[in-house]
Amino acid sequence: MAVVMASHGGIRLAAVNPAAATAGLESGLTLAAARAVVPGLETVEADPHRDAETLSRVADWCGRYTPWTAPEPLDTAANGAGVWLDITGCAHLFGGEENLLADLLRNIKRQGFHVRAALADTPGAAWALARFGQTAKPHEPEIVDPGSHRLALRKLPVAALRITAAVNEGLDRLGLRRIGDLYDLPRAPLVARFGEALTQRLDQALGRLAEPVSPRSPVTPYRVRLAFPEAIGHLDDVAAGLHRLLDRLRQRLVHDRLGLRRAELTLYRVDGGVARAVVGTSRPVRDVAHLERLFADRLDSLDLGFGVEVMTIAAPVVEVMAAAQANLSHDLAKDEQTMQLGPLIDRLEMRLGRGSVVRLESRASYIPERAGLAVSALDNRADLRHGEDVAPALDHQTTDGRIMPTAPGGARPLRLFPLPQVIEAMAEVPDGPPVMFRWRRLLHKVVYAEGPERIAPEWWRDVAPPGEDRSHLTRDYYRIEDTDGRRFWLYREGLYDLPTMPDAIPSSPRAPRWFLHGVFA
Amino acid sequence: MASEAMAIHKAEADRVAKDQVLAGLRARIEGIEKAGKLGGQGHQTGRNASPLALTPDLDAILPDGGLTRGALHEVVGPPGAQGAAAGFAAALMGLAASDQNNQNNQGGQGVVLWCRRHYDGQENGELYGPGLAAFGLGPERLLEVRAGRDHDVLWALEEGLQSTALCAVLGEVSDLSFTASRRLQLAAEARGVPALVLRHDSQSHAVSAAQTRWRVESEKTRWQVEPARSGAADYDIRWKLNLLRCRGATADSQLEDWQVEWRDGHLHDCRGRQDSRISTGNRTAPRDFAVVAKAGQRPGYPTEPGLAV
Repeated sequence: MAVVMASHGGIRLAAVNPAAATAGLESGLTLAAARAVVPGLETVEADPHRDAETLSRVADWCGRYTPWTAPEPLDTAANGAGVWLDITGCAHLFGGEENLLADLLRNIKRQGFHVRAALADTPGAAWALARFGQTAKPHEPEIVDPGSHRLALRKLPVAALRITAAVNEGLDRLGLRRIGDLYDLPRAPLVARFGEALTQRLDQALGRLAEPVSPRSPVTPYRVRLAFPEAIGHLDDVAAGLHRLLDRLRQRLVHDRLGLRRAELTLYRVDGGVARAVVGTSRPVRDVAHLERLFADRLDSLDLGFGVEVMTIAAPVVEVMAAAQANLSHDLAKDEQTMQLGPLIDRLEMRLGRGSVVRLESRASYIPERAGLAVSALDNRADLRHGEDVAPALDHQTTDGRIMPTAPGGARPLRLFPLPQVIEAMAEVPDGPPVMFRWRRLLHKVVYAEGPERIAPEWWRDVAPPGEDRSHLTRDYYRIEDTDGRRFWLYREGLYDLPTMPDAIPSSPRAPRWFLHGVFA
Repeated sequence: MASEAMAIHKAEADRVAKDQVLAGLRARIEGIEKAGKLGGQGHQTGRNASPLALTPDLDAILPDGGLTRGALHEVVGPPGAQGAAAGFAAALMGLAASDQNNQNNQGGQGVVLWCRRHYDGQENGELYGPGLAAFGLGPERLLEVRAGRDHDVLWALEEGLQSTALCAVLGEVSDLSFTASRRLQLAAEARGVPALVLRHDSQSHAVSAAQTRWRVESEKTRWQVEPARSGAADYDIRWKLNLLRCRGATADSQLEDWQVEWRDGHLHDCRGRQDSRISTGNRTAPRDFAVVAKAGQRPGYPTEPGLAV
C-alpha cells in the first residue's frame, strides 16, 4: 500500500508501507512507475492536514514521558515526520533511558505506528540516528552513550545532517558521502561552496552549536506525574489520584513560596488519547481542597476512554505567594475575608464563565456611564483599591446659578441603562424640564423635576478638531418624579439657542432629544 | 463481691451515658425546632441571635424583633425597572453589610453578592455603582454576578450562602419555585445570613418558603408633601411597604402601606403612620397571612388595603 500525492508534475508516492518497500517501491516514485513494478498497488490520497493533526496528537501523548515534546512536521526531504522528546531528568522515572525508550516504543507500536527511535546527546544526532541509523536488530532503538555521538554519526550518509537535496547532491559529486568525511575538512571552503547551513547542521549534530527545540506547549517546572500500574477507568480513582497529585504539587509550591493561578490536569489514556481539564484561579492558590473543588466540576466531562495510565498536573502560571502569616493589625479580618472570597469567585466564574463576577468601581468622571465601571472581580487591582480612589463628590449647578454639592444619597440612580432609552418628552419651555414623557408606551406625568445638571463632553479626553462644535452633545440632566412617585433620571441632549460665535461655523442642526438614562431607588 | 460491685458500677455508668445521649438529643431537637421557627414567640436561635434592625416600628411588628438574619426574604415590586423594590433590597443589603453586630461581616466591612441575569442590564438597567454607594454598597462591598438564566442565579445564591465571606446575598429572578425557595431558606438558616430575592409583583401570591415577603412601591417624596423644601439638595428616598407575608407573625400584626424613608444610611419611619393599621400586642397563634385583592381589582395591584385570610 502506498500514500500518493500530486507533486512535481505528476502523482507520486509520498509514503509506502513495509510490504511495498520490500517490493522495491520508495517514496518519490511516480505512481505509473510504481504500478509497473507492483500492478496491484493500493493507494490512498495523502492528507497533510490530518497527518499534522495525528502528529501533534502523538506529541501530546508523548507528554507522559516528558513535558518537553515538539512535533516535527513532515519536511520536504521526506525523511518522515517525527516527535522530539527532551528527556533530560526524566529517564530515572522509568528506570533508565533503555526502559523509557522500550516503554515508549511498545506503547506507540500498540497504537499501530511504525516508529524508529534514537537517543543521543544532541537533537541533530538523534534525528540522524532515528532515520539513518543501522542497528543490529531492526526496530530496536539506538542509544548513543554520552559523548560518543561523533563516533556514531561517522558512518551515516550526509543526508542525515538535515540538509537540502541540492547540498546533498553537491556533496555526493565531491565524493563526500559519509558524515565522517566532513569531520576533518577545512570549514572555509565548505562554507564558500554550500553556505553556512551545512556547517551549522554539522556543528549542531556534534554538539558544538546549541540547538534549542521549542516545546509544543510551554514547559513549567511545576508539574507532577502519577503513573498507574493498571489503567484506571473510574472517576473516583481519578479524583483520588488528583488529590495525591495536588498534594505533591502543593508541597513544591510551599517550598518555593508560590501559588498557582492556572492548573492543567492531563490524563493519558490507554488508547493514545489525551484528556485535559484546565482551571484558573483569581489569586495565587495552593489549597488542595479548593483546587479539588474547582476540578470537581470538570472531571465529569472528561472522557476516560478505556482507562487512564498516567495523569499529570502542571501549573503553567505561578505567582509569588507568601506563607500565611498571622497579622496582628486590625486588617486581620479583612485578610481573612479576601482569602475566603477568592474561592467563591473562582467557583462562580468556573460555572458561569469568565467575567461573570464583577465589581462596580467608581471613577472620577462627570460622564455618568464613565463614573461607574464594572471590572472583573478577578482583577486583582480591585482588591488593592479598597475604598480609596473613589471618585470625589461632584458639584452641580442649579438653575439659579448656585453651586450645590451633589448629595451622595440619591443624586445618582440605582440603575443606569447602558444605552440611554429614547423617550418622547414635552416641556413647557424649550430648555425647561419636561412636564410629561412617554417611555415604553407608558405616559408619565411629571410632578416634580429637579435640575438641570449640565454635563458637557469631557473635552480633555478626546480632543475635538478645531472648529467642530460639540455643544450638541451637552446633556442637561433632570431628576423627575411622576405621579406614582417613581423617580427617573432624564436628560436632554443638545442645546436650544446656541450662542452664535462670529467665526464659528453654524452649529449642528441636530435638534435636542430626550433620553431616559436611569432609575432611582 | 468485687465483680458484683463492678457490675453495679457499670450499670450506673451505662445509665449516666444513656442520660447524656438523651439530653444531647433533646438539645438537638430543641435546636431544630427553633431553627424551623416552630416555636414563634420572638425566640432567638443561637447563631443569628441579633436580627437586623430596620426601624423601631417595623421591628415591633416582625416576630423576631427585626429582620431575621438567617432566612429568605422576598421583595416584590411592580414590573419594569423596579427602582423602588431594588432600592429597598439594596437598603437591606447595605444594612446587613454595615451592621457591626453581625459576626459574618468582619466588623462592618462585609461583602454582599448581587446576582442577576446578564440581559437584565439591557432591559432594566445595569447596577450603577455611584447610586449603590448611597446604600452603603461601595465598590469594595459589592460583588455582582451576571448569570445566564434564573437557574444559574439561584445556583450562585446557594453557592454564595455556602461561603463564609459574604454577609448577604440577593438574586433577581423572574421565577422562584417552592423547592428553590426552600433550598435558599435552608441554606440561609444554616449560615445565618439573609438571602433576598427580588421578584416581580405579578408573583406576589406565589407559594414560597420565604420568611417574609415585602411589596415595595415608590412613595411621593418630601417635595410633594412639603413643597417648601423643594429644590433642597437632600434627596430623601421614600418607599411604601406592604408586608404581604411573614412567617411567625400574628394575624393582626400586618403592615399596609407603611411609609419608610432612607436617610443618612438608615431606614426611618415617616409620616403616614396614623393611616396604617398596626398592632403589635396580642401575639397568639403564629400563622401566615396573605393579602388578597378584592374582586374587580387587578390581582397584582391591590389599590386598597387587602383582606387578611
